[in-house]
Amino acid sequence: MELLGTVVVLTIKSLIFILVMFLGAAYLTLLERKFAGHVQQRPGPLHVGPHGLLQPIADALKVLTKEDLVPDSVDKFLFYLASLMAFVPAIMILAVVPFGDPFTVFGVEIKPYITDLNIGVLLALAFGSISLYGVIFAGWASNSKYPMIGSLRKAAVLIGYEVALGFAMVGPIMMAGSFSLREIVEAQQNIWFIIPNILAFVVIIFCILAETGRTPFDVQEAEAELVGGYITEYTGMKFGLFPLAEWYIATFVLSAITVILFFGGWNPLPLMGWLPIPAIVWFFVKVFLLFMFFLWVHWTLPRYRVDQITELAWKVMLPLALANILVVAIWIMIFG
Amino acid sequence: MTGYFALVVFGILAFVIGAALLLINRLIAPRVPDPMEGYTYECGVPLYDKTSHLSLEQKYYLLGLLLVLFDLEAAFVLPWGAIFREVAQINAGLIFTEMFIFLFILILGYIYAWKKGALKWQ
Repeated sequence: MELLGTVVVLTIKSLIFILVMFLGAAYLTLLERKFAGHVQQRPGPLHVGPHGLLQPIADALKVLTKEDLVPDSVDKFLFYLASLMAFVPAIMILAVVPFGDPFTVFGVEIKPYITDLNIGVLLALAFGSISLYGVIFAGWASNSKYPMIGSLRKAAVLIGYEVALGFAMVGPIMMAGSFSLREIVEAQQNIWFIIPNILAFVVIIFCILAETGRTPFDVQEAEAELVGGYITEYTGMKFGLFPLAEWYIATFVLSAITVILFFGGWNPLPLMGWLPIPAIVWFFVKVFLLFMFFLWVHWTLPRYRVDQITELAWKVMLPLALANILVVAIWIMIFG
Repeated sequence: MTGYFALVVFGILAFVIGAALLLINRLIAPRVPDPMEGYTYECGVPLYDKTSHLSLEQKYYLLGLLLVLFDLEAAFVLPWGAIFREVAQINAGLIFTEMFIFLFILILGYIYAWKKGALKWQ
């Protein structure tokens, strides 16, 4: 009986998290399109609802009611599995992200996170790597040239940046002495980990841009060369899950993890702790600013060639991440 | 244990919701058969190669091998990072030199791979 109760509570909580993330991701598409519009001096979506506010809902309905095409030569099982394999790991990272400390409302303790495991950072890293399978499956199952080239390129980029990402995360872990994301936030009450870990922060910014396929690194769907990259053959909701997972859910969740690792999570800004602002608002403000930074990069910079990107990962980012470990070790030995 | 259990429940739910979305799409979308719709995408002409599984070569298999190597190294460095602050208060010299001897050997291998040209996009 007790087990059943736990399952029901967990199911409801997970449902709330997933649905809010869906709605949030839908409105992040509107945010991105508005932002992209104004960057390029056009108004962006304007006609559905006041100032295009209902555009995400129209988009969702359109994507759901498009014909579900499956070309003749594809591997049908992998073809469907690929879009799930891209979507599920991306949203699984959300399960380990804490949005604040537990608080009580009307005598009921509410925990604003799904689970607080003592290996939270490792799980986030692991789910980030698993999403590579979605890309590979999509490229292979489509049995067409452009998806294949796109997925091979994306795989090359991902394996390069994954190594640097793993080493870059060592710095904040050394500072906090724990893998738990909540304990990492608690350890930053006095000083944010950006201070000695600035090199790791640079590496992680590059890694997130590469993992989510945003512009300086969007070789997987370089429109001028590869049509749509590994999503060329996809239509309808199968197609919809890819950008949703990659551009919105993954970018948002990885921004949240970066904020937790380097910018003090839900701790207030230095010298502004006296303001009556709840912790969760601080957290979302920081995540929003970082997300906007990624959009800014995406809509400003041109694309690099794929060999330049992989060589950047191996020849610059990996040494930087290793140097960061040395810097942090010396910092801890000097300042305790 | 409830922590991992919550993770499993969350994963199953995410999978079910994703699958449900694909299923809804399949059920409610109109179907208008067209003789050309089963064709693989190409700019309006029939394909010459029917399959793409044979015709492409990978340019970076050495990077794939190096990934395995370096990810294993990272697996050693991460737990060391977690206890560093604790042990550094007792015996800072030991834990510092230990890991940097390890990293030094790792970097030697890295330089060897670089000089051999394994990091280049071939």
